[in-house]
Amino acid sequence: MIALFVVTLTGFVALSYEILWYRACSFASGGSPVTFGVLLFAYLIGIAWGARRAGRRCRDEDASGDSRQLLRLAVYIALANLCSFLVAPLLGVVCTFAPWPLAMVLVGISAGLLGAVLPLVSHFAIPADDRAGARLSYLYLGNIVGSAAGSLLTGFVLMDGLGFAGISSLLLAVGMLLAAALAVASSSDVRRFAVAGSIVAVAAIGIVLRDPVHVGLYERLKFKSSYDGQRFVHVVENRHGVIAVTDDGLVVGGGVFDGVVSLDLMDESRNWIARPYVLPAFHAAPKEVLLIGLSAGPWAQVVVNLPGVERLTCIEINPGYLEIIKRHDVVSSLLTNPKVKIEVDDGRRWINRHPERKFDLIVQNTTWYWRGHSTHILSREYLEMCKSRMNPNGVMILNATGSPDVQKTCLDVFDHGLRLYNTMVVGPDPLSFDGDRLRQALTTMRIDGRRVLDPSIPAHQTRLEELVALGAGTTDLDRDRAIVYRDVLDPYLRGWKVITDDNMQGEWRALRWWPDK
Amino acid sequence: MQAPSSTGPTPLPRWVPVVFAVSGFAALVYQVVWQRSLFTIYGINIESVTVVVTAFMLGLGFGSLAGGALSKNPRRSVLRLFALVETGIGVFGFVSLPLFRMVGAWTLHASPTVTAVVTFLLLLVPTLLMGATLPLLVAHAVRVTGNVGRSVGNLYFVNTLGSAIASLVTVVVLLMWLGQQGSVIIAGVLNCGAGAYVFLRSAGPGGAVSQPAPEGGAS
Repeated sequence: MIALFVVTLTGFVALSYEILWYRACSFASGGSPVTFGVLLFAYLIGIAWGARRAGRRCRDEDASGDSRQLLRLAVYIALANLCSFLVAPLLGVVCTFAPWPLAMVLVGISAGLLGAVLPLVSHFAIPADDRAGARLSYLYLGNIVGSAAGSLLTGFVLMDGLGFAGISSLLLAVGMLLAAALAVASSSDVRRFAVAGSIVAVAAIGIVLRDPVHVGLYERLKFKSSYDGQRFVHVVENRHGVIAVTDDGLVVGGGVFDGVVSLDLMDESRNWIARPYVLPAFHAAPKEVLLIGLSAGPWAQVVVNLPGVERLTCIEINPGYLEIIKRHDVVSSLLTNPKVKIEVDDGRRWINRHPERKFDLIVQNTTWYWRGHSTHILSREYLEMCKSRMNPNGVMILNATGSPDVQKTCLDVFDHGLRLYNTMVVGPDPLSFDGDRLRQALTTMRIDGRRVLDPSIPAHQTRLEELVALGAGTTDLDRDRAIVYRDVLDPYLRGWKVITDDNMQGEWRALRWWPDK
Repeated sequence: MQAPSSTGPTPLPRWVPVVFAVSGFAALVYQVVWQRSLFTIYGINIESVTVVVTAFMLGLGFGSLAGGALSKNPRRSVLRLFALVETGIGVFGFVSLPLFRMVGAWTLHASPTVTAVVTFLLLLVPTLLMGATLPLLVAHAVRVTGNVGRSVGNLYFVNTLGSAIASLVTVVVLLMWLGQQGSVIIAGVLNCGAGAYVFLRSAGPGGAVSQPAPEGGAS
């Protein structure tokens, strides 16, 4: 029973730490699709190495029932927990001077110590007889049940209630108490009390110092070599991810740029907010609008105030963004606007489950195309589904984040389309840019009672005409704030690939050492 | 009780760890690809992620129990069972992605609870088989070497090493160049190849039942 308890609890602790490390690594990599593979590689190599070393230490053919083994086990578990506790803070430090994967050495060492536990416990608990396989299976099951509990409890419950430092110190306490208990239970001499006392003392020091140890973690992971003591003014940590905001309104979601909370059409240098403002040029009165990915809300705030919009349905996978929206005056009215309905769900699943809903406008300010799982909302299969949910003359605007593969996929699915800045504006019916309608819309549009542009102000008038002039289009594909029509895009996109659920083209494009354009 | 001879423990044949490393490699390929495929079907919110990960682990755990139960009978050839299990994993791998999509379409409007149960059931068959492999081979190894810790340590080592290599190879090579379907086909071929090889080895002299270590050593 001791053996089963030990492997179950260490399974819980090990998987819980893996969840924490994945969160930290993912924030450092910006959610790159290789993050999981790299972390798992280091973790499993560590486990394998630990198992190997432990196996070699088991020289006696049958040591079952020898409780002296418990003291050795206690020391292994204590070391494993201390190392695991320090991995994330050290990852933060490593990021400030080296690529984050270098810190995987720390993951490997910690996992190696954790990986030694199963063979050591097996050697202690299982006699070398015909029932060895069966007995091992009980321990293995216990280890896996503990891991599953870690996935459920840490990934689902603790992530919502405790921050990174809180969970980390809780795991340290659990692991060290287990180690101390094992030390006391070993039948060796009086040294066992000294060992147990030392383990408890180390745990206490770690718990007391948990906040200083973790201070600046997310900032280091984000800013890396340019980290200079910056602090996020607001961090939301929940089971869905981490969202942070800098003092100048930059939103960092999962470690990457996730917009700037600003609706200022006169200065869009930081967020190119003109893109949703220009939509009236393509659709006279989009009554029913679907927005996939609410984020911090600037696009939703613009869209819901466009002329003709009667209902805006926003789908956001991370409810933490609602907290960010609440804190920013320019977008906070979204939470009380009767036209706005916000649903916390996976965007693709929501569309899949609501075939009865049809929309005049579908808006998707997508995250970076190279991030893990971006295929989910950029693939041909997904866009086909969106197309089937559009009303006649419906329009979809989708941020391609600079990816020609995404542009190609959009134009493969939709008969009509163009590129506006770095977004694609597409639809099943012919699209035209109506400059007069845009002029009319922007001069009458108000957000929270404030006019978006006042034509009596010369600078505003100039800006208005700049936006209307976008309709002329350009043949210069390198111009970022312009419209490129399909006849110019098609030759440029020849040779780029259509993203499918199977090939996940966009995600791997940036990682390929042998481009296949 | 089998025990090593006085001249030292009998080593495991070298092909055993190699086959088990291949098995671990294939298992990790499936895990990565199936997770992605199921996320596409059921969503990538944390609820789906937790259901898939938990289902995977519980399947492995119960499979371990099943493998342990099967390994108890000393007259039964655990190697042949292992070969059968590997082949079963490979066959499931070949049909897995179309099967997931088909079931996903059927359960599109199901409640979260039903979705969780269906996901669990979908992953149950292959993960049960995967989980059974370690106890089966440990039983074989202990019959041969008479050392539990070393058997568990070494087999766990090679299996995990195979998985570790697969975790990197899957994301930087297989998915990148072959996509999801191509990746699981590779894994399926590896499983079936391992199954066929072990079956042939077990069909050789003395292979039907694992050879115990000679009597006479300490136990």
